[in-house]
Amino acid sequence: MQRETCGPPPQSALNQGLLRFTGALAALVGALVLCGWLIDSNSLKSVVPGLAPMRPHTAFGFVCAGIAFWLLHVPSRGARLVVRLNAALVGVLGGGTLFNLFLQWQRGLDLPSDAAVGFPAALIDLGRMAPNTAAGFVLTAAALFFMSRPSKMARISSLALAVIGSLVFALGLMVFTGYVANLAVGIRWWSLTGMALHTSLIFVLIGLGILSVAWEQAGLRWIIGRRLAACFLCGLGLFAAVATNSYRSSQEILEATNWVRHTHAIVAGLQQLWADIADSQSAIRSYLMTGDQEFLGSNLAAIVAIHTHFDQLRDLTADNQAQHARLEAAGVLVVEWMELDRQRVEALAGVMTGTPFNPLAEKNDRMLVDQIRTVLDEVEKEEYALLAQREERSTAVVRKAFAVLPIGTLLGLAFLCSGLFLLNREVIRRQQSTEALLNSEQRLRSLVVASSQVAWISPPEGHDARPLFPDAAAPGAGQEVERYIPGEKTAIHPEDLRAVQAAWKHALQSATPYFAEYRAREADGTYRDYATRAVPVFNPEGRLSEWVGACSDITGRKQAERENRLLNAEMQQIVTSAGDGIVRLDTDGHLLFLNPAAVTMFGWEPDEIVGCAFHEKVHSHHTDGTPYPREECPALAALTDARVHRGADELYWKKDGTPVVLDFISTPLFEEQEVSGVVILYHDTTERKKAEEALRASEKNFRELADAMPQIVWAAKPDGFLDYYNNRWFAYTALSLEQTVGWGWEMVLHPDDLQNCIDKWTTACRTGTPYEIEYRFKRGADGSYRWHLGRALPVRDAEGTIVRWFGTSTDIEDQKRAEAQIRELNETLELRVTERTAQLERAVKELEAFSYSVSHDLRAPLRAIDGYSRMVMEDYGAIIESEGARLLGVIRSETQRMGQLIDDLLSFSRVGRQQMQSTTVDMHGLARSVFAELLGREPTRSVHFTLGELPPACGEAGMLRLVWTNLFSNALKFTNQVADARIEAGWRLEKDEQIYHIRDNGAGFDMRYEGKLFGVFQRLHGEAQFEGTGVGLALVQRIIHRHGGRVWAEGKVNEGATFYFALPIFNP
Amino acid sequence: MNSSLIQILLVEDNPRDAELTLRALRKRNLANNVVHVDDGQEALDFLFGAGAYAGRDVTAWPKLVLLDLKLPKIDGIEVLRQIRANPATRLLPVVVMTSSREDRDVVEAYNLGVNSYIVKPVEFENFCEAVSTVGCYWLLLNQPPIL
Repeated sequence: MQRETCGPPPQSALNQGLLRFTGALAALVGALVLCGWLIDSNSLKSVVPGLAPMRPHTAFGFVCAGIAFWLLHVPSRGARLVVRLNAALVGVLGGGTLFNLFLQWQRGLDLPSDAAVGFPAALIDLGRMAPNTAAGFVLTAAALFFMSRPSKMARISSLALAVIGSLVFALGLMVFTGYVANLAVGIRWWSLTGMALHTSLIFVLIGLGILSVAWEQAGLRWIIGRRLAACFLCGLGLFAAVATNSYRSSQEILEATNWVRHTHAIVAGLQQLWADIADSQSAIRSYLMTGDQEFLGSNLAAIVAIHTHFDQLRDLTADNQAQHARLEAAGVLVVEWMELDRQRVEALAGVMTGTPFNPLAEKNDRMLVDQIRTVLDEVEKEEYALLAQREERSTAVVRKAFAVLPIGTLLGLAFLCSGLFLLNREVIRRQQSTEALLNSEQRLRSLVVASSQVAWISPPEGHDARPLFPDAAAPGAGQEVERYIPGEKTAIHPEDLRAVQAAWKHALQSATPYFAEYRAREADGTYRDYATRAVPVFNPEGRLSEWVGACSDITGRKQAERENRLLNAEMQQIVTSAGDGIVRLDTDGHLLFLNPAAVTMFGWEPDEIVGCAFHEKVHSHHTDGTPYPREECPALAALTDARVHRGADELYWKKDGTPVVLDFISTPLFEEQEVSGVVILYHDTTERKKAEEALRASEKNFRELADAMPQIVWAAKPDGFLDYYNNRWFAYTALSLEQTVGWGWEMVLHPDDLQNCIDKWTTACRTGTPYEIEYRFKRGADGSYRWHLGRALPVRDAEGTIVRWFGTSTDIEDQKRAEAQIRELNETLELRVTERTAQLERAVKELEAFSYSVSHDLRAPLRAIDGYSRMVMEDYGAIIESEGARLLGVIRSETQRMGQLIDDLLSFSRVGRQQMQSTTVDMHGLARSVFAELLGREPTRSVHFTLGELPPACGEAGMLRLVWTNLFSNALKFTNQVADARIEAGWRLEKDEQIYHIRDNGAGFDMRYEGKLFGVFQRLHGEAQFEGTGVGLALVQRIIHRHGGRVWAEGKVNEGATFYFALPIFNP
Repeated sequence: MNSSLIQILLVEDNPRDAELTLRALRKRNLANNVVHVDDGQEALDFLFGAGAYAGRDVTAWPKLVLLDLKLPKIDGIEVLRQIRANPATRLLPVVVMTSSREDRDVVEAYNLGVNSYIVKPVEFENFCEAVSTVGCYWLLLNQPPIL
């Protein structure tokens, strides 16, 4: 697991500093002490010489522990290994020592109480660590072990660390207090080796360090107030002081008691001594007097007792130099006295040799005993004086203790009670705040539920978001994390996802509030709009601790926004597209807005007039030039009286100074019950008035026209209800409008026509198709029925809806009769036409037969006459005279002329009958080829010929060729006697004709005979002068007429002639 | 008359025209083997060996038929039709010589397969020229089919 490898839990900088400081100090002190041992410096070993020194292995242990503490928060594997290694070393050091101590427990107990004080004893115990130090090391090792553990076991380790820390701290403090208060009991355990002063201080520091770690691991904070802490500290301090004082007092009393006992022992010893001396004196005296040896034995026992008691006294007074000296002096006197006694006893024995009783000796003996007595009395007196002195001091201490005890206890109690009170108050306050917190959380929860939002929290990294109140969601409301965090799995709409991701990433990186609006997918696959906000939450250290967010469904708002936007756009469109001018003024009459129609109406562009005083711009004066004050303006009155005003035909001025007449509706706008402006709607009535005028005029015209018409005119509503007739109707039917309005016309309709008429009229009204019918109406004057033609057309509006029917009924009685007559006439006419046509056809056929016969039969005799004449000349030429030959020649030439005449006539007749097959004819080419052909027959002629660019024509090519042939041959014929013959063919366009002409400068003709030119066999010149049959121009005229054209000629005698023929214009 | 030598069958009802024609032919020495018949019926009889010409060797076909159109009994158009309708005479050279220059006659004649259509000129010299040209052409220049 990831958390396994991330090392000990992070500690605050303060804590780390404390641990490092502790580590550094421990290692430094350890190193110094080791140096002290090397250079044998007492001040390094035990700070204050004479106190217990720090042992070398203790110092080594501190170096190890110090390094471990220093490295405790270096986040690397190696450091951790070193920490654990050092912890193990420290543990083994302490544990080993304790183990050793327990194994050799007895020996430790055997040692005299002051064995460790002196150096020799300390040296013996160089390898022995103080047991409390060893215990401290064991605990420190355990603490190091726990502290280097991952924070997974935080709760257990923090508890263990708290216990260990407290123990180490207490251990150090106890020793330190022992040193401070000079109490051996804290320093030494079981009178074993004591802990050094600096050791104790380091343990205090280590204990504090461990406690701080425990404190932080448990996530504790110092929440007790300063006053409360002060109270408890004061109370505890007072109790400690009282306890210390009591302890010291007890010690004093105990000492005083000892002293009394001591004094009594000395006094008793003195009295014993004295009694022994008296015993010895009496024994010697008895001996001396009796010489009884038994008394010598008693004296010896007394002397032994004297020695014994003397020694006891010497022991008892060993602590008092003065007493000791006195006792020694007494001892010298006793020895001297005993020597004297020994001499007396020996003297007695010498009685044999001397006097057994010596009065001088007796006197000396007494004097010595007195001296001894005096010294011993002094000793006794001194003892009693000392006793009194000590008792007095003891009494003072006890008195003081008695005074301190209640006062201190009371004060301590008071402080504790105050502390308790404060604590209670604090607890109550906390409880209240907790309740408030709970309440507030409950309120928050209710708020979240009520607001239908999803509240969520997320770790600082931004993943693992979860609902704040998973159980608080309303049913159906999605709490899925996919809704509000763009994580791996997301319900956010793909189009919005990128933006949301960017926003979330930015928020995470900058630790700034996060906000996003987006669409998210529901369980049913539809999308709804959501808005999510999140704020970063920071802990007191200023580190980001978590994200708190809320996600709300804003589909409704979004929808409303969209609709609102749409509505606004629509409103805008409506206002913009309105045909009427709309302007919006503020309370001062300044223009805020005008729509396009108003722009058109007044001629002012928005940027020219918006913000200006509207009235003064467009409504400033009347037609006559007098000013129009704003106060009188009815449209602006809405601003003052907050009512809707309407006005008609109000004159306004456009930008270019032209007047415009407008209707208006002025509506005040309200904001918070106050008039905030006015909207004026302008309607341009100019067009409408014109239209109304036109309508009135047109209606008048219509009525006049309708009344003037000889027909019956009527009008009907779309449903067929007739509501108008012209005067002609009333004159014809002799009925009134009231009688015939609507469907009243049925009464004058011929019964036979009624049903048909009703059917047709209702059908027309239903389908909107034009109505046409013939029916008979009864004339009011004579009751006769006359035929009428009824017609009606629907009038539709712009949408195509029928708004009106207009109808006429025309009297067609006369027409009907005329038609009948015409029909009758037509029938006979057709018969006649058929007859005539038949006759004509017959005639044509006859004519054709005639022509046919002529072509065959008339030529045959001519040929015979000519042939036989020729035969006569051939066979009998020799015998015929010249006159005969001339006559035969005349016969022949006349027959030939006859033949020509017949040919021309036939040709003329054929042109009349021939079927025409019209094609496009190249008139230019035709004219040129015909002329060339004709000229080719007269090779001797020299003619100046000019041919214009003739346009093509539509016609029968063969016939048109005949036209050119005849006209050119005419021109050639009539110029054959002119020296400078000129023939010119050209054309011109005139209206819908193309006119061709052939001009020559030949014989010409007299315009008086122009009418005869085109007649058959009509000739204007003699046969002798110009040969010809007189058929050519007739033929030309016939052909041109058949082509729908015309032909004419201009001429003057001897000045030439021009022949024209016009054909319909032809556009190929 | 040796029928095998018949060169021209002249079908002409007008004796003047016939004489003029023969005279013109004669001038060119083409009139020796000319048979002249007066109407269409006689012409058909001659050609198919019927009527007055029954027993005639019908295999001796003339080299040329000069046919007038306006004939008594059977007109020239009908004669032409029958000549063309008969397989034996289908290829017989027939030249119409007539006074008519009516289009319908010209078109009709050519429709029926006439070999040539000559309008008789009124002027004698022209007439003679036309007849002799036709005679020379058809009798001397033209190679008739083997019937």
